[in-house]
Amino acid sequence: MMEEPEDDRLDQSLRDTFSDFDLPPSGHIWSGIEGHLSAMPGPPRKVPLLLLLPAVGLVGVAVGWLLPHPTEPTPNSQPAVTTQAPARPDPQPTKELTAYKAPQLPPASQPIHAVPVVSASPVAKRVRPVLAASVDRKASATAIPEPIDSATGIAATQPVVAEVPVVYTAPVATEPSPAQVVPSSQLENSALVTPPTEATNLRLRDTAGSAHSKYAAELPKQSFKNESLREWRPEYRVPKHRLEERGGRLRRIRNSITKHWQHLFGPRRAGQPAS
Amino acid sequence: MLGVARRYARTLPEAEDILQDAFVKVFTHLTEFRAEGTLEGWIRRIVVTTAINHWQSGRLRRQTQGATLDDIPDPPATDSSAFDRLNVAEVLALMEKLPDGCRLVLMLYAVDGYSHREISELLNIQESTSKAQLSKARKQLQHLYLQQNNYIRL
Repeated sequence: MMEEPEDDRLDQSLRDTFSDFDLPPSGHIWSGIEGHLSAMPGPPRKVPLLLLLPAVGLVGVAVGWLLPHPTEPTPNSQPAVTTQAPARPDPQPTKELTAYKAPQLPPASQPIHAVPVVSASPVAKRVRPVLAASVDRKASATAIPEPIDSATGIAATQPVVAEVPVVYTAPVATEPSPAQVVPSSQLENSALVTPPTEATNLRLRDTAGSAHSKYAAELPKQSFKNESLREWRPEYRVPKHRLEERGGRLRRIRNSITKHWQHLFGPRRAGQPAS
Repeated sequence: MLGVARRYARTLPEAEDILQDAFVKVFTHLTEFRAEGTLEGWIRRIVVTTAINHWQSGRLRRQTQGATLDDIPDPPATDSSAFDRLNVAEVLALMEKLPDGCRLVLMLYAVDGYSHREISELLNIQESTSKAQLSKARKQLQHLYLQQNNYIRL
């Protein structure tokens, strides 16, 4: 029991002795430490998982965005008629439409004073759907390659819209101004020559009289032909009652396999050998 | 820190080797410092652990060279405050004469403040062995001190 304070005193004297003991390290110790540290391989890089997961998500979204998406045809936006009908090469009506030439009028005893190019309001109302149809036709024509003329290298059938002049669908003026009136004698070489509609044909028929009856008889046929090409195209209805069965190919295959299975191993066939 | 390494080493070059290895460990494991204590205390513990590892690696070589003082009789009662009059070099010279086990336990317990449990874990010995080694180290140190004083008086 008496030794414990003596031991504590010894420990305390040793602690006091070494408390101020300090030795300055020499320079070669630090060079040795640097050599050891440089020889050791660096610590492995930790993968930042918090950044990696959003990066993977972004890459996935980007890849999904860039992949080609199959465009499903909607029945309202693009009917099957518009893609099918112009596919047939029918150069003759387009030639008539594009390279329309006003037929030469025979010299009349009474010259026609003026033929208003700008049609009346009921005519304009009828023309607008024709234009819309031509725009649709242009849109469909972009998807279908057109036959190219070997001699000229230009597409044989040009878009109809290019040939339809603006004046043809301009707002109707009640009284045609002199600038807008084109004499019928200049119709042949004029750039504003437009295919006449039925209203204009009727007016021509009235103004030209009997001398132009032959010409007047031709015009309705041509205009009817053009309109019949544009407006009376056959429209095929998309069968909506079959839409629900789309994508059920696996189901149909499974049903057919089931039917064959029942046919082969059904109770009738299985019962036959027994009976 | 070289002083700490010197207390556990027998020579200065050995202490420098211990210090060098200890600082390599410090720089490589610097990210593991959790700032629960002081950085000095953390580095000191690394130095002490490295010194013990050095001693354990060369234990077999030293066992053949070290003198055994187990049969030394108990010294007469000496004044413990007599060590206060000794300087560091003299105390180190006395302690270098102690066996390694006794010297390490005395240093760890008396100077660095380790408990017997920590010493037993560091040196892979029993706690009772640590206590016995400490008691023996104290007696031997006093005996060595008396021997030195008697030689000086004579």
